[in-house]
Amino acid sequence: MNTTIFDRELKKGSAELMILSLIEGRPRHGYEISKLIEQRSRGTVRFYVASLYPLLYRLEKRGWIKGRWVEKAGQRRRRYYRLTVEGRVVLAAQRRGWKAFVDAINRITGIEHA
Amino acid sequence: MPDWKKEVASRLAGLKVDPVREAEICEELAQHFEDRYQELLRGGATHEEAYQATQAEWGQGGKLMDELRRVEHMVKREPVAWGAQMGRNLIAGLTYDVRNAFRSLVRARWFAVGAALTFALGIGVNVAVFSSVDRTLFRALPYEHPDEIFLMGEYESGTDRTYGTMPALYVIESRHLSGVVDGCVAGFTAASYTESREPGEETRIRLTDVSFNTLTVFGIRPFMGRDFTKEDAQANRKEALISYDLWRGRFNGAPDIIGRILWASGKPCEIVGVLPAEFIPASSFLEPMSDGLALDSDTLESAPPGSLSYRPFLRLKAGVSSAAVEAEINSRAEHLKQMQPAPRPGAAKLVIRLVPLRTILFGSYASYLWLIVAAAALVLVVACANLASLLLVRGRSREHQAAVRVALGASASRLMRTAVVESLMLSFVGTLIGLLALVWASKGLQVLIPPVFSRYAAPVYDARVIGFSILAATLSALLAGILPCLRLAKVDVLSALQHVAGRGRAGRLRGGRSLLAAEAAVSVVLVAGAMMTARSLIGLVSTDVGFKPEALYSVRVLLPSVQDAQTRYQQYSQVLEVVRNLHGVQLAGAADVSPISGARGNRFGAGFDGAYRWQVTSGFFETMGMRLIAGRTFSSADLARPGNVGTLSEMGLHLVWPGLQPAEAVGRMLEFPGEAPRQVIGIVSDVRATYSQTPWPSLYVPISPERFGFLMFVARAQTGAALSVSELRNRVRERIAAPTSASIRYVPDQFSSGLLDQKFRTLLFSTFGIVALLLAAVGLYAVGSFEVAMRRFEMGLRMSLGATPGNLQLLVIREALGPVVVGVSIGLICTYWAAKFLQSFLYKVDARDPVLYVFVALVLVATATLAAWLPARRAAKTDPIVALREL
Repeated sequence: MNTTIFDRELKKGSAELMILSLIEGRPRHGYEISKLIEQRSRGTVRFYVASLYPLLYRLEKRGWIKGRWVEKAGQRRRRYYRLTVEGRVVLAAQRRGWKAFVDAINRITGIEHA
Repeated sequence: MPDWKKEVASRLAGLKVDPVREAEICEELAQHFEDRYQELLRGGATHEEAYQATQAEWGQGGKLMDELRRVEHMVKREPVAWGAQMGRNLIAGLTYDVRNAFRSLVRARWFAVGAALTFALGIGVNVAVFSSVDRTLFRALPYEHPDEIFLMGEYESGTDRTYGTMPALYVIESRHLSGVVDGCVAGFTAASYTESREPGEETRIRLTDVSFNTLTVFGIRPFMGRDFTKEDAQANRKEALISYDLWRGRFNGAPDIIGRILWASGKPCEIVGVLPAEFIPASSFLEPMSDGLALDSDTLESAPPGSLSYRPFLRLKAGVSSAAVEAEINSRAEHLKQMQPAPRPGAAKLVIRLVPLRTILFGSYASYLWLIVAAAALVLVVACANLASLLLVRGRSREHQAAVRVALGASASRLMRTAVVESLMLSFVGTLIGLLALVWASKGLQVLIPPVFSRYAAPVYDARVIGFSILAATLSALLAGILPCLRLAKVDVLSALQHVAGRGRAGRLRGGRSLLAAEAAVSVVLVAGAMMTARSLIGLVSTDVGFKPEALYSVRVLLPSVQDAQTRYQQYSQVLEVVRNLHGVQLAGAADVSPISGARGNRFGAGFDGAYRWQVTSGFFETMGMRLIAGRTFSSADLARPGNVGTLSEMGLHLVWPGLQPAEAVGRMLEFPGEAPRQVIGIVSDVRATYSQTPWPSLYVPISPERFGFLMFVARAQTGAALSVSELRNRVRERIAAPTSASIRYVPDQFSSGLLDQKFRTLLFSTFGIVALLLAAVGLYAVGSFEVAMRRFEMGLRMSLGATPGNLQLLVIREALGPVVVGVSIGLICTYWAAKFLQSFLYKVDARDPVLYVFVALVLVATATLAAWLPARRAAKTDPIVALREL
């Protein structure tokens, strides 16, 4: 399997979980989210405009997150996204699913490499 | 420095989403690029490097567009924004407008409540009136091709006077006109029936005798049971078709109603069917409270030629004109008249006319009903004018908002649509409130309204009534919304954007003043109508009826018919004794026809038309409480020689000897051709059967045993006593030993039921007048308050230049009264013009009485002054320093 395609599929599968997790603690704007993903993955995962914003809008449409324009002193207004109650439920479910999936993969790949 | 917003916008062109949304996305993405660009610069990159790196973030530009399109069109959104032109999707645009109007009305909730209530009042009144008059004025009559049915009647040539009934001969003739007439019904007179064989106290059932083919000619079928048949008529069988109301009411909708027996004078009459609910008995012009039809034996052909008791209905063949048939029948009648050996008196000047069914049924009410329709429409006009002025004020205070929308690209039609949607919403909510109120109040209203309304009224949920409500709501919304709409379309963007309400803008509300004038004008008409009807009612109630109705009862006793006049006389004299000795009776008397029964008496005397003669017993005048003006009443000696004496009423005196004083007339001899001379022994007061009836010139003579027919009794009760009908019946039976039916009516009830129409009219007009006055006052107050708020700067300036608070108050009131005075003048002219029409509904009131006009004008001006005084007081409290600082 081509590694680029593999990476892209991995990223796609985990993108929602990453974004929801990042705004769980506090509301963040789009650029901040993209920076955090890049930093915390140490450059492994990067989201560009073309994939990040459509995803944010889709999550918003589903009612999992909610964007709001906030004006702070001395800055231009930015759109901050926060997790909705529904989003919180989805996040918990996705976390459990992800954990089960990773454990399973680990078990499989671990056995093979052992 | 790159303009990221511009760049993003150009890349997103063609996304086709709501412009507001597009602007948001644009801003957010531009922000992202800006942040990235700045970060790269901070990291030591050159402008060129940073720009290139940021540009690279687009990835493949097409992907972003695809993704965004997919997300944004997850739920289809119509690009209708405040400033946008009408979208392609009309419904989505409308939804947006409705939502927007709803939000803005919630924000101005007091305005919304007031406006909706005004609509509720205006439309509620009209729906109520429409539901009451629809069947009588507009709806097709519930017969097959009702326009082909006519009543044939004899009229005095050139007048509207008719005897109602026709000779059998003509009816037979018209039956033979088979080329033009499709069928002919002979209607007869109504008779009373009872449920049990023994006449009792129960309410009687009134059935109108008709020929067997009635339902065929009217083109209807019985709701239940069967129609009359020719065979039954020829076999002289008595059968009845009862009305739907009677079946549902009296018989509780009994399923076994067919075959039950009704009784009339001991003879059975079988119920063979129930008429449809919608059916208006064509006989209802004869008998307003007819409960159905009874089959009359087919006697037409064998009837004596002189028999006059027929009222024929004709159904003309389709396409045949009634005038042609009328001419044909008249020429045949002329021929018949010449053949008759002894023509009827006065027959020469009689002509036959065919009168359309609707005229027969409701013709006499039509102008009254139209009056009420017109009054209700005026209330709606006031309500619309009022709302228009409120919406104008509201539109004016939102000019700034409208200007912003125009600046954003909204077209005039777009702005107008928003205003129309708002006004439509208000009117529909108002209509709903009005309809609910009507449903809730319908029971209470039933008691107040006269039978002509309640009998034919349609329920609120009737399809036509609902249709009318929707139509009225839409029309009045448009009527009220059109002026504010046009104003909004003409909004001057530049000046509206430069100024904020209240800061020195010219404060006049254009269009508002004309509306106030219109409101005042209509209010004048309604208030004048209210005052006239109220005065008319007072005039009626205070009319001298010529006798004392209090504690008076009219008593009727029906004995089995006896051929011999002498025996009948003795029997009825015994009944009079019984009545005199009833418990609680103080005085009693009788007459062959009671002058207060509403029925006409016998002929006054040869050569005197429109005057009547009444045969009375001893004690009649005293029991009635009639005033003796001159001479004396009948003594027992007079009663013994009934042919020799008489008593005239005042009008009778004027008829016989014009200009003669009552005292001079006593003792004179009254001579009629073919009668022995009669000495006038007294003059008594004129008697009216109802408040509004003009008394008939009357001659009272003692009852004569030779020419005796029947007696109607009157009894005056002792204070606090009430007469018992069962006691009366039992006593009469004891005395005469024959089945009797008896009824007792309290005379004052007869007078108050005669007032029902007048009371209703007064109530209706008073309500309309008060509503109109209130609405006009509210409109004036709203416009006045708005102008004062708009002219704060001017007021402040005037004050700083030396005007006193009193001056300012006077200024505001004077300016507010301007349009009111114009409106009142127009209203008075309209009332004067309408007076001719109004006069026919009034009693003893001149519809052009100048005093009344002055009074109406004063009421309007006083109300207007009060409504203007409140904003004027606010104007007077303007603090010049605060007001001037606002500039």
